[in-house]
Amino acid sequence: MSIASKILRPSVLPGFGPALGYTVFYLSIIVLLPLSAMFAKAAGLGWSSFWETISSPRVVAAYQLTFGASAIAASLNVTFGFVVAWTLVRYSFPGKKLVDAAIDLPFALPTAVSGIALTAVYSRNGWVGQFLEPAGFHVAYAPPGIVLALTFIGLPFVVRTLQPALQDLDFEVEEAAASLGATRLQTLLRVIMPALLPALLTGFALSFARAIGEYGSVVFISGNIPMKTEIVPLLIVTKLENYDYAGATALGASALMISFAILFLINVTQWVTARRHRRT
Amino acid sequence: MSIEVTGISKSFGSFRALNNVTLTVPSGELVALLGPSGSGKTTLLRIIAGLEQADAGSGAILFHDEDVARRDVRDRHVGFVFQHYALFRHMTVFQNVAFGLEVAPRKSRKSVADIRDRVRELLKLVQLEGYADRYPSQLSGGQRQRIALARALAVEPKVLLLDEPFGALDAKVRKELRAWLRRLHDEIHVTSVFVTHDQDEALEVSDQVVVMNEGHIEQIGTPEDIFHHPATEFVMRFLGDVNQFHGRVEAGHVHLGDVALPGLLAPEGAIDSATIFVRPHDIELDTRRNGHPVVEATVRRVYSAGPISRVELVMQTGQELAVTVPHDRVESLHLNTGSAVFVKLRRARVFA
Amino acid sequence: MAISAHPHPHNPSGRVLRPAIQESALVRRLLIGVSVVFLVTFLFLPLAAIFAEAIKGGSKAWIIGLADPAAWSAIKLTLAVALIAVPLNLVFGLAASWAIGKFDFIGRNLLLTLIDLPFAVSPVISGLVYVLLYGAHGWFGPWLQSENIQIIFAVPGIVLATIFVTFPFVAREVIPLMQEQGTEEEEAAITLGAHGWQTFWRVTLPNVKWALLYGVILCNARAMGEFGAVSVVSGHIRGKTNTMPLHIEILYNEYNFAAAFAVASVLALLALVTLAAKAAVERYSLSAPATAPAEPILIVSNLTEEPAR
Repeated sequence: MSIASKILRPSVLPGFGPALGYTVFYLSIIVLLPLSAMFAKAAGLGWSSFWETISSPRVVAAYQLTFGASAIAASLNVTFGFVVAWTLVRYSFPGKKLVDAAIDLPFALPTAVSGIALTAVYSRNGWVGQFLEPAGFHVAYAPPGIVLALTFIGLPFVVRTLQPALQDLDFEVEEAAASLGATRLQTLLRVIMPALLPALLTGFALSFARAIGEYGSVVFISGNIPMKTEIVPLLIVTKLENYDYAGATALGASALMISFAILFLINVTQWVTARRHRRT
Repeated sequence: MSIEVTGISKSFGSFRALNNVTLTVPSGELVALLGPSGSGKTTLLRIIAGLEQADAGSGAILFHDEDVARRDVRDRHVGFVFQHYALFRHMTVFQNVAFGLEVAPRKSRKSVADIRDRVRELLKLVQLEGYADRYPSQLSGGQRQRIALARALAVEPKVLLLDEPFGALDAKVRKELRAWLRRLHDEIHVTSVFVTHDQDEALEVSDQVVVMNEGHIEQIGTPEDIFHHPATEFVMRFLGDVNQFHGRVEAGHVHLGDVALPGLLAPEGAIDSATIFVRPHDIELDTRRNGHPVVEATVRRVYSAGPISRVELVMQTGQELAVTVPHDRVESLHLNTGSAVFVKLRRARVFA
Repeated sequence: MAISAHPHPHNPSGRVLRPAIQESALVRRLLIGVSVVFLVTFLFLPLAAIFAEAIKGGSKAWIIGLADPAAWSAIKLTLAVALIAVPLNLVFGLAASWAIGKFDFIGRNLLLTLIDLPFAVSPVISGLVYVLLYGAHGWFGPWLQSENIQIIFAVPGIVLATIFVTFPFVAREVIPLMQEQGTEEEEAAITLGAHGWQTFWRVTLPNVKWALLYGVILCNARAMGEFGAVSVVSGHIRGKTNTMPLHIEILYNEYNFAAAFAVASVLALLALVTLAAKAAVERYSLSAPATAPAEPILIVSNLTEEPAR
């Protein structure tokens, strides 16, 4: 057996060479080259100036806010996304199809539009804000606004990950639990939830990963006050606008490495659960 | 057009799918490649078609004395019927059958009217004239299979290759279709090779059967040959039920305990510990000795739903034996669980 | 169509018919209520607010907001950018899915992961990487300057950033489908004498057309709506390098809310059209008898390593 046939399983279909060649070429110039340019620039900064940038109080505050708000938003999404996915998969109610289609709205709506729309609803004069503000609960131009925007954009990730997992659940397993005397709640906690755990984790991670990079929907509602409501992507933009390319590069590289780490974790989670399923 | 395969080998990684296979398919015959899964039969068929390449340096594939091993699939003019039909799901039955005619090079392409006539003719041949405008998803499995066959025949292939043609069908349709395929072949006489793991299918449909196992050919012969004169232990076991037990053989006799039973084929030589094979229908049962050398046995169970009954015995040597006898015989001998019987072997085999 | 002998667990409306595992009516209503309240406050109110704000000043203000030359040029630039980015990613998606979906080679999973990378990159960083490559201080900056080519703070930069953020959309829809469909139909076409292109156009492409369309719809929505990445590379030159989302930002920051929401309402309409088209493709692709039920795959990238065939 030749080395070539070990790398590519022989096939009578033509066009592998050109298709793969074009794929790798396009991938390289659009994705890999620019990303490596940033990492090369970051490496060129040297460790001390890199560290100095990302450990400055303003950056640390931005990271704390970004991670905190993203984690809260992802948790909200997992909680409510589970309820939404459950009702969409298991129940029927008027307008269900419309609701199902609307779940993807945050995907389809440009983030800038989402940003000004959320601000309009939750600011002092908004439909909802006018009731919250007098009660002393500030949403717009405060951290809750950031959580709101991040929840908005992360929702479809959770619902769309959970829906197929819920559909795949075997009714017979639940009936078996019922026949063995389990209450509905016991079945939910001990049979359904463990089966959904991989999907819940994946949904959380996808929502979280999307949230820490989000920019458009947040900048309008956050108020952008340094040390208070300034998120990491905004800080990158600010540094760029002040021609602080080194600072922007360091911050960008660090944020990207965190994103990749999350991506890697998602992959490992899915790989581990896929293996476990294959074994049974 | 004859097909000649000489010394073909094929490996996938460290797995050797075919090991130096040589085979001749005479022109106009219908040949079955029979074997269990993993025996290499489908690989061999795909290599003949040109869908896979044999290992570099291994032998040749000749179509009518012409080497086609390096020739592209398109230029081999084979009709290939895929196991799961591989019908184009977005095309109607008509479009599927017409496809090969429509993609022909412009200079040899038939006119639209000729293509239409040819497709109609083929749909008639496979008895699906009324189905031209249906989509594959609207057909039953057997109908899809016949369309796949019509599509392959449309381009007037020199050889027809079928990969498990009835594998995905239920038992009743299988039976109907294989009789139909035999009649069709008698009508069109195109050299055909089909792959199957079903012995009944191979024995019933084909002119010649090629039994394959672990990448090599065990035996080639007519269905009668293969069934009645198996050349190897594998063929013996693969084609039909067989009793298998250990004993001593000598001078045409099988020694069980202290009894020497006649009936052993290949009587030369003596082996102290041989594996002896006897088909269930090659055993005679009686309740009297009649003076012949026999082995005593006890009936453990009788299964008699059907024209042929199956009797399970335990011989006095402790070995178990399954016997098939006509139901009438079971009744006349009054066989029941616990009955004592005498066993005689009609034909027994050992393989070196 | 296989007819199952077992009672189907769902009736057509999707409700579970198995009484032993059914929640009480109260719990059911409560859960539906929670879902509806959550979705109304988070999804429907903001959407409604866009249109409410857009028509608050009357239809005249709405038209003025859109008829403004700067708004008009933003609309044109947005369309132009999508018209370049979407076809390029479409061609890429087809090439990638042919190579990855129809062939078995070492490094396939690595390639799949790399194609997904842009999903994991913050939009702002997607713009930043191009600034660092083609900007004045970037790798190619000095050379580009000497050749008098401007990419950053110009239309080419906007196009590149848009291509980056929409990069995986088409590929991600088509690859899994091509993989699932296998190569038998293509092999059949080839044994019948079809050539490579004939096989691709007449057999492969029709089988993935719904997934392809689905990917294009999503790709287009994102291309027209991208904000962060484009914002970093655009330079915000009114009438020149402003796309619709950037134009909204400028109007909003100038407190010209009526005009901002007028433009936003157009993009929101586009989003609604996208959702409707997406739903239509999903429904049609499942009901069309002629084509495979090409279950549309969500853009939430499924990063599972496919087992090697």
